[in-house]
Amino acid sequence: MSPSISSPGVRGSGVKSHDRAGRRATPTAIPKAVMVPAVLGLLFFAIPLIGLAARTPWADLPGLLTSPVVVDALRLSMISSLAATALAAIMGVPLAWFLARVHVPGKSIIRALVTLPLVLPPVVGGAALLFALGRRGVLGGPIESATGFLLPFSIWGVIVANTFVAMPFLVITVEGALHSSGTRHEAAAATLGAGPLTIFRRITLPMIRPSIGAGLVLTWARALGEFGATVTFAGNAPGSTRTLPLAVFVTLGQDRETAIAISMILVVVSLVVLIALRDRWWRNL
Amino acid sequence: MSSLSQPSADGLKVAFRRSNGDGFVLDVSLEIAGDETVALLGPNGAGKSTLVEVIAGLQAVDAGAVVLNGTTLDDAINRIFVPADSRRIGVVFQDYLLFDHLSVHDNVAFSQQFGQKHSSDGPGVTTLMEQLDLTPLAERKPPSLSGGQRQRVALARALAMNPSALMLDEPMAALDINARSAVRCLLGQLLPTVVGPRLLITHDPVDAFLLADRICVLEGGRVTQVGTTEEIRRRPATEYIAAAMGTNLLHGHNTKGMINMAGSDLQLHTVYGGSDGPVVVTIAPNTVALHQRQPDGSPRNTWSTSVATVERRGDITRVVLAAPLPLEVDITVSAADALDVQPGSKVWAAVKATEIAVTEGRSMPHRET
Repeated sequence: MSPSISSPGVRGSGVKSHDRAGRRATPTAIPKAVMVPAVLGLLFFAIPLIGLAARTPWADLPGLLTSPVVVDALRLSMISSLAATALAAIMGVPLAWFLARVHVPGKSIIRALVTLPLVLPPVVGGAALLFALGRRGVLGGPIESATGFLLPFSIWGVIVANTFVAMPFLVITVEGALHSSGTRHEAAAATLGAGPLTIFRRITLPMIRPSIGAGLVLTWARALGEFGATVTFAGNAPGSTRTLPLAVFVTLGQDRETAIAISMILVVVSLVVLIALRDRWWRNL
Repeated sequence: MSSLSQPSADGLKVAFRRSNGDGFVLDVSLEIAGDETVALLGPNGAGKSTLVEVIAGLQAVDAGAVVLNGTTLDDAINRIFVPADSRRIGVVFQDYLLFDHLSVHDNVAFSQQFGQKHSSDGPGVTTLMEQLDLTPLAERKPPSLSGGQRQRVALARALAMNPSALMLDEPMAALDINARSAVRCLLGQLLPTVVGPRLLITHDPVDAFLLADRICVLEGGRVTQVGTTEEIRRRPATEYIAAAMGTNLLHGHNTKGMINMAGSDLQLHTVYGGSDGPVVVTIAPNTVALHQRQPDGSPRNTWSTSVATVERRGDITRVVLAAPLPLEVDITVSAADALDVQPGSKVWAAVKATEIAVTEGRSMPHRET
């Protein structure tokens, strides 16, 4: 980014504006009172990463990343985050469609409920899941006595916790795309004889495919980094529920170099995701 | 409404009320015969697109009914509503609404997968693609097409399902002038071959004149006049109609800018540079000058004629000329007094070549005399 700001709202008409529009925005003097805190803010984000990179034992990295602790956590993280993404796709896309297309009273409350995990502390989310689906939970108890199946403290618990925290990213991305694509193409398809389900599959979904893709990648990245809800609902058992973020937390006290190596994986993955999605998602925020 | 043709089971009958939230009420009664094209004219916000949406089943009526070929599609009292996907009403939308993720061929063939609902005695996708010059574009995606090409895809897509009725919502509005003339010629050939009632929304009187059998004018959600182009031009019911249709529309044959006017031996000089053949000539009533003697000098188009009728309309006087060219002419009241125009009085008419607008046009078969 070059240190320049463009003057807002220069969109007039006639020869004069044509003159301006043709050129790049002219660099303008930036007040120090703005620039200094801005640079501080940037450093605030950059310094931890620099610290992490400075402490990274680059030469030992291949060995560290193939150690059993890391490989186990990586395998668990991959399975649970991908499974959570799949679950989110199955439930989240229809949910987004419902929010965008169906008129029901109190929809703002429904939407608040769906996006709550975005702002709720994940630990609270995990605790809530435990009260609902745990052994003594509202649903968990009956399910266990009927089937003998118990969600918490298993990889299934990790998947549920990941889905709970990450799915809102898919829902809001897809709902936004459905709002902006509108319903007129769907109406055109109806006049051509297409029924509601055909319209959903052949018109609606293909038209918002890029946003579904972006939403899925965001969802996956959020699931991969999930800590609070996972540790609360699924526990921290090596080999069955200890995912990468949990492994960072555990190894930080005993095996600092492994913690740094795992952290580097998560930083690189997150950066790659954000850079890949720069045009799809956060440009519009 | 003298020309409401013989009532039969064939055709489209709509008579309904539909109000949207903000106080706008569409209250329309209209019949279109099974072999007829009706042009729907009206200012922006008159409810033209809403009317199409109600007929197509994208909106429901509040009161009244929509009946196509004897089948009730929508009836508020009897609680009948046939959904859009079962109506088989082809719609060409103003902004086309092509499916950008599908190729041109797949757009045109979109309706074919629902064959169980539609009889398959239509022209067929291949024939239509050929007829509308789309075969070379078959594998392209709509975003890479020009406006005229997209318009033809939209038309082919609607016709491919062999519709029982066809709605065209301002099919030429989004096109530049050259594409517009090409599409107009295409519609002139295609529309008469479409079986079933046709409704063409337009704001261009030339479209209505060339392509439609009758005109229906919609203003503020109500039908203000229905009739043939001639009837509406002669006796406009509202100021809007007078402004929109109060211009002289005449058939002629172009030869290098020189136009032989149909039904007379008069030739008009124009600055038209289009190809030789049938044309429609538009002459605004206020561009024709009337003189007592043959004018000398600039205007090359002058002819001797007599006055058929005279009618005072506020500050202007509307004079209708007799043979050789039945033009309507607007002159100021003082000019009319100076000329002393009376029915039967002899005058010279003059119009500049640059004031004559010419449009390439193939007339509808039944209009040729």
